[in-house]
Amino acid sequence: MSDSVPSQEPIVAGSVSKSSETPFPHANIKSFSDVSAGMRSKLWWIALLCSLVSLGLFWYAKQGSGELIIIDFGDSCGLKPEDRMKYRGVEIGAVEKIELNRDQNGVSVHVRMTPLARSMAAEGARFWVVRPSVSLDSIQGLDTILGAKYLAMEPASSGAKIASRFQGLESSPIATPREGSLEIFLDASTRGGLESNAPVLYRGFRIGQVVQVGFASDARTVQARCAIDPEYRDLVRKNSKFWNRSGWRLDVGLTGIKLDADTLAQMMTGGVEVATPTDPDQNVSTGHRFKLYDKPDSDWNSWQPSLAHGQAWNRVATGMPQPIRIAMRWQERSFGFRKNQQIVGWCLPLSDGKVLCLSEQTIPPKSALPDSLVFELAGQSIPGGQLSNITAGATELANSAKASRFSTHEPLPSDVVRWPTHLVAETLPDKVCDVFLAHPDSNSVLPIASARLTVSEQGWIVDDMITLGLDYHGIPVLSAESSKVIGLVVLFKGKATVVAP
Amino acid sequence: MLKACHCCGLIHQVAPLQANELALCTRCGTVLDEFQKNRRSQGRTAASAVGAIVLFPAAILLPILEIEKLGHHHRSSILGGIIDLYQSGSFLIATVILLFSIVLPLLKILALIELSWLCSMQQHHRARTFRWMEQIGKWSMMDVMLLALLVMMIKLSGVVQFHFGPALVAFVLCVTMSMISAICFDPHAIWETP
Repeated sequence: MSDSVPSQEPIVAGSVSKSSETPFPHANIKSFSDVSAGMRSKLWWIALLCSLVSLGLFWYAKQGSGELIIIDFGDSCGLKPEDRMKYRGVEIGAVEKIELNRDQNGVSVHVRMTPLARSMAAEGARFWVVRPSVSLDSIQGLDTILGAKYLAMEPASSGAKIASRFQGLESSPIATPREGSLEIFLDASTRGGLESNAPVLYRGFRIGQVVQVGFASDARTVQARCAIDPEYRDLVRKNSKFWNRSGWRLDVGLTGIKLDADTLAQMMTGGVEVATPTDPDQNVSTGHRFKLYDKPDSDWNSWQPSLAHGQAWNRVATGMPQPIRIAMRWQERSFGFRKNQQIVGWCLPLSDGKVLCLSEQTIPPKSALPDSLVFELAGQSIPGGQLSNITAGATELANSAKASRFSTHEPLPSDVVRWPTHLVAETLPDKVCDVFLAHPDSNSVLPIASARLTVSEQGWIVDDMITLGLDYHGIPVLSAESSKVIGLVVLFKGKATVVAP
Repeated sequence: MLKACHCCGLIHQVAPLQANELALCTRCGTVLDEFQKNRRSQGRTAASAVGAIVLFPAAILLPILEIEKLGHHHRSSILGGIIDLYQSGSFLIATVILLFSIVLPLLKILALIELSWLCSMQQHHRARTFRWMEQIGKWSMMDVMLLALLVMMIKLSGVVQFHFGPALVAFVLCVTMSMISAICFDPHAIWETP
């Protein structure tokens, strides 16, 4: 049949064209390109692609949003769905929904955390709603007055187990005291208007804050936990006195009315004042208990001890050795000419008139001309013959650098700071301790933790992690424990070593 | 077989075509017929309509736009936006948008699939469906909405921050596919298929 149909068609068409007066023209027949021949199947491929795209988008929308955690709060505090969770100002999640919990005594906030931040929500993480809070001390969360509220968090310590349900805090947590703070306890008979975040003042200057106020464990006293900032911990001594400065005091007497209030903030939150006697006792360590007096004795305000304070390393700052520059100049003969040479370094004048420095500063090379040796220090020029070398029993180093002491015939000028001789250790201690490199430039004084030091035959080797400039060559090393000079720094081939003085 | 040219109206005799052949008007050059024209156009229409319909859920359900203004975030899909409008009481606007951006486009795509692929209806029903589809097609405004999104982005970009969601990709593709489908559809196929 299929063969016969094409053969019939032209005959019929032909008969039409013959029989009618106006024959219809035959349409032009062209063969079309093969490209469109495959069109039908291609479009089905595109349809398949579309469904893949659709599925992919659903998957992406689900994937990108991250996992859900639930935080229980007593109150939603104006938090709304789609509000953000931020950590250090960066968005790490979004509130998905807020609902009343089953017992109807709180709300459950469902938060979708971004996948990267998920590990932060582990056991021990703390969450709170950031709200504007205006106190006399500070204004916080100002961005949430107009803008949306947001959740903030403090991640758990690393390695904690990941959890998905948390109990939120009602208010932002008290800032944890800075590292190195001195935490002490004050016992008072009554609270006396003291509140957490109240300042601890020394001569009216804020040196720390009250972290927490509560009963002592047996409720016999009120106990205030205070954190003294690390740079001021030396102001508090064992015989320091604390008294409550809360609120204001109005004295009406014959001489008139006396209003005693310091700052507005102190009037509201209270404060603790501390004074240290003129003959200060030893430093206290964290956990020390003081009695909190209601008011100061009359002489407490007149105490004027001189106390070193500052950064943590400055604990020894009252007596930092002050090394001075020393130059050894000599002449050498080379190719018949006299050539000037010099070595410049640090030395430490001692109270017994001697000078402590590296032996390379005092021993000229063999090639030096004997009468040309001159030492220059503290503005003085001393001919080499006038020096009496006393070499301390120092350990030999690869470059024969060791500490030596010498005395000059003429005393050094009186304005040179001398370091007491009894504060120079004979040898390096057996065990490493925290040390300071006593650079005369106070900004360059470098603390080195004991963990960075290792004992070796030559002395204490400083960890490669600490890079010391050539400027530290010959600098005295001060022990943080004993406040004694325990050695000198030697830089040799990029390695820093502490050698005995 | 006699065929009138769509363009100039000249009636031609068209011989049955072999593979890879097409018939052209002698006067104006318009394509009169091609090999298996109906099947091919139906295939194209059906394929792109199916492509459009699989993208449709992604386009209306996934978030299309995220607006951030003064720290307040709002993220919504097309359907979510309509629900929001209902909840805030704007019934008229919500209904208009629901009708013209979801219901009518969906009906149009479904009608195209039925006419080109399923062919479950009788011929005169299909003709009626086609005419009906022609009418609703004018009212489905998916492509117009895309334009509105762009205008909004340009106008408001100083005041609020915009982030487009994954649905935008699906939406653009869905509009494109339904347009291709409508272009490929050849109404002659309704009557010419036995």
